[in-house]
Amino acid sequence: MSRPPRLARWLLRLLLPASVRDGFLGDLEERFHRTAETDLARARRDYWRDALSPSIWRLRREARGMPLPPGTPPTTSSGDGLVHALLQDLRFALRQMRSAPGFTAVAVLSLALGIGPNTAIFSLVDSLLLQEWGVEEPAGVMDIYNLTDDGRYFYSSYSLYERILEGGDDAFAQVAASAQYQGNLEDAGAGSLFLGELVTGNYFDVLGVQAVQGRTFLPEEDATPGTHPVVVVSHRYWRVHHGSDPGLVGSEVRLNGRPYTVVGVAPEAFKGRIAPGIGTDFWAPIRMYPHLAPTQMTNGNLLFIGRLEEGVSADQARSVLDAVAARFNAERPERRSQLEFGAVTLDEIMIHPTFDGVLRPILALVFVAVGLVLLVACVNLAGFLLSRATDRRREMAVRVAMGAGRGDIVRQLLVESLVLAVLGGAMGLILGLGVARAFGSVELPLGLALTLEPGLNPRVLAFTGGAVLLAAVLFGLTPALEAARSPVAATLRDEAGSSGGRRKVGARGLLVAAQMALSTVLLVGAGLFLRSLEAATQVDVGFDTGPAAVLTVEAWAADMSPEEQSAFARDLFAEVQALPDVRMAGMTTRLPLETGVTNNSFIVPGVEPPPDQDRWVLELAYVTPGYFETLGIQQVDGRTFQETDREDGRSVAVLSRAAADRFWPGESALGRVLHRGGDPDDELTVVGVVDNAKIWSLTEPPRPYLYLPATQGSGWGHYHLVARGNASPMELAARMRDRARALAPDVYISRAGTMDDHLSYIFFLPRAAALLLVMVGGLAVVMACVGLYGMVSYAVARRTREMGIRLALGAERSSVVALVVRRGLLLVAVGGAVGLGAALLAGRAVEGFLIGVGGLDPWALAGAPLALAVLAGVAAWLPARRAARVDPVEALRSE
Amino acid sequence: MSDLPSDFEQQVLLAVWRMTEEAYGASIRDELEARTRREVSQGAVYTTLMRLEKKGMLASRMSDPTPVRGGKAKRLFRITAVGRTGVEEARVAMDRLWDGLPDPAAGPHPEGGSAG
Repeated sequence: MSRPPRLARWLLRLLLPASVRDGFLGDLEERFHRTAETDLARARRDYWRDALSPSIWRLRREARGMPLPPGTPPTTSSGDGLVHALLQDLRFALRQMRSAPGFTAVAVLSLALGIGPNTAIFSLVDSLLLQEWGVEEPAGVMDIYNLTDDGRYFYSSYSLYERILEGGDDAFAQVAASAQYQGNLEDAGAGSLFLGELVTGNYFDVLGVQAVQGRTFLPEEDATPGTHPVVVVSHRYWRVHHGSDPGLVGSEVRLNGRPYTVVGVAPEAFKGRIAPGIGTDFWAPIRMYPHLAPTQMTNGNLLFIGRLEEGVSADQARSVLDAVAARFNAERPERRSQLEFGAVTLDEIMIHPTFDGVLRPILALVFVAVGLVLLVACVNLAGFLLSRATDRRREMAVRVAMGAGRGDIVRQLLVESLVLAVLGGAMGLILGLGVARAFGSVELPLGLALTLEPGLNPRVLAFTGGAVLLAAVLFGLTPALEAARSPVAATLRDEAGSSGGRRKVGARGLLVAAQMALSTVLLVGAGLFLRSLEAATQVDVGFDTGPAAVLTVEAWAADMSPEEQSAFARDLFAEVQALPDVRMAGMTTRLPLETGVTNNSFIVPGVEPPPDQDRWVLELAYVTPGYFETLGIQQVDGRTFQETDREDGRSVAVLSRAAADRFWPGESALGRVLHRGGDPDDELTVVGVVDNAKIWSLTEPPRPYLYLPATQGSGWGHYHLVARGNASPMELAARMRDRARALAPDVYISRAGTMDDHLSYIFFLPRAAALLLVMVGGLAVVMACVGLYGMVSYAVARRTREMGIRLALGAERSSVVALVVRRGLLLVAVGGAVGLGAALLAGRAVEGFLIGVGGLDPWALAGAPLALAVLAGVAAWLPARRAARVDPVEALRSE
Repeated sequence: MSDLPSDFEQQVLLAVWRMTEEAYGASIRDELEARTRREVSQGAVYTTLMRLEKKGMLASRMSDPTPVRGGKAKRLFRITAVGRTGVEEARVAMDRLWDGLPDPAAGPHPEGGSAG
């Protein structure tokens, strides 16, 4: 015989007051069986409709508090038992919580503080990394990189794309190529840089992505260079900048100063191929390179994306790629470095195989830190609950004596801790999402708007739910089992005597010691990263980081020919030098400690290239006369650039000291030559050597670097003007921007700021790490001290009588205080020592993240326990004062 | 006057009265649906039963359990003297309002009106 839908029945049982429950359910069941004889589906539907009807809530209100009708059997039938008992436990738990609001508030709050950071970190990580790519069947999409000898995954150039198109037929249905791109998209005049991709025409087909408005690219838009100015825009761009206006498709936007027709809008789930959480805002055909990126076809910045042929495995595809690389290598026996492809399917990576390797340990570190806080919070609560369980031993014993099973006691206590955990979790969720939103809106020092939208989604909820469950079990189980184990008769007879209680305080002491250990680890970590941050600001970067104005110009994103760009740069530089308050100024295509790289290959006559390489690859920047003086990069040998270094004169170069030492150790570099691109006719003569400056990071060893004169060529698409003078840097920057605007109103200025703004990028990670650990460590210490405070006050309260006796027998008050404080401080010492041991190991593990300090930094290792000792001393002393005020007479009378 | 039962309360009271000794949730609902030719929800019926019981117009007791109802007992309702008076007074008040108007049970009235 079929039965009514269980969930609906359970729901009704939960909602209906006891006075109507049985009659109501019986009536519904009777009707269900009658209908089910002819139409089971209808019977179920009807049952659900009755169960979900709003009238149930009216009935609930109406019947609540009504007496049971006469003739109700004394016990409810089986099956109701557990639900009923759980509900009763729930009601009891809520009553308990109302009766001890202070305890509830502390418990819920400290749990929220433990769960909050976890939720915050998780939702940030989730929004950045754990999103779906929004493509069809990610396991069938393969990213193909150029694998370097040291195992890094690099992008490739267009010539290799053609190779793969030729030789990849067996493995791939189609292969697309895409290049990350930043473009100046204009909306009603106000331009700003957006992330985009330049893609081949089959890009959307390979990924299996269809436009939600309009269409994606047509084959002819990928056929001839520079003939089809069209873009597909992201769903987000469409929504935020055009209010989801369907009229956008077919209309024109300006991209880098020229009109482009919007042909389609990508679906919301597809955010491009940069990172699943970092949205690409537009896609343009790569064949528009003559306008957007004139050197695109020779640039090695392409990602190849293949769609695996039906039935071809990833490994089979890899061996096809190996064969393509082998043929390529065979044709170039003279090349010392061998081409190798590295290919991964989309479901194997978070962002990019190389970045994943960097991100994973950082993520692990962050999760360990916030996980420890959650652990501390749980331990704290276990402590609170344990002491309360001790207080309630009589209550439990009475219940057992009256026939409650041990299982009932454990269940009830677990329900109580679960209720606390759910409340704490809900609060932590709100807190965490707030923090995540705040972090998500922090402007990253990248020069363009990234949109992270951390929010409530099933993954975040599942994560918080998991944390809550873990917390409930972790901190609910110990006290519950303790309570269930305590001997009934003894408890009742002793009236909660002190001998049994001492064992509980022992368990609690262990918890406090554990908290102190965890806090020590986190505090040492905070200390290490603070010291690292301090050291980072002290690192000698090789240039003057004092007040300076920086103007960054993106002329490439305007509709200007290379000649116009050069003329503009020249005029702007002249005008800036002429500004009244400018003492000195210089211009460069790349500032030290900037992202982005420009390099070229060279043959250095008389010097062997590195092993396995044909040539030297040197990073370089074009700079104007006055640049070294303005930046404060010291001249070591020879001269720097002058106005006399003309286009038609001898090509000259200035080397960094590391480069000169690398090529001609112990000899003068002056007058030596380099052949650019290996071409003996393109000869550069070294005229000077300057001191090393940090190029990429604060921790890098001195780096060979090449400076070339701005007066001898190079494009002026992206460059920085640096000026120092008598006015404030902000003011100077504003004046420089005004000059630039006056010369060319359309040019996009990505920064009109200061040297400090520029450097904030490099200090962002150390700052963020220090801030995070200080917050997390502070939180852990506060919670550990609350735990200690609770334990000592509890000990004072329990031992009031004992203290009264001691005082009555003539003990000194100070010795009574010492009695309770000593124990607390002993725990701190033990915990601190264990924590310090763990911190020694942890310090080694995080050494790679530190700048200028070792993992065993004595300041951090000594400072953290000291701070903890002071705070813990206060936490233990506060309640102990009460012990000193005990009135012996009162204390003895109290029992 | 103020505690005259509402329309639906009157319907429920009449159904219970009509089915004396056999009036319980399911049968009352069937009766109402059969006679008024419209569906009512179990919740609505019970809400009204509970309200009427609180007003003293109905009384109830549990019967012995029966297997077809999942082992649940029936809650049997009967109309009390107060209930009977209430529903009668409502009838009288309604009759007074109908006084002099054509009787709907006697068929369509002469002027016609809209065609059904």
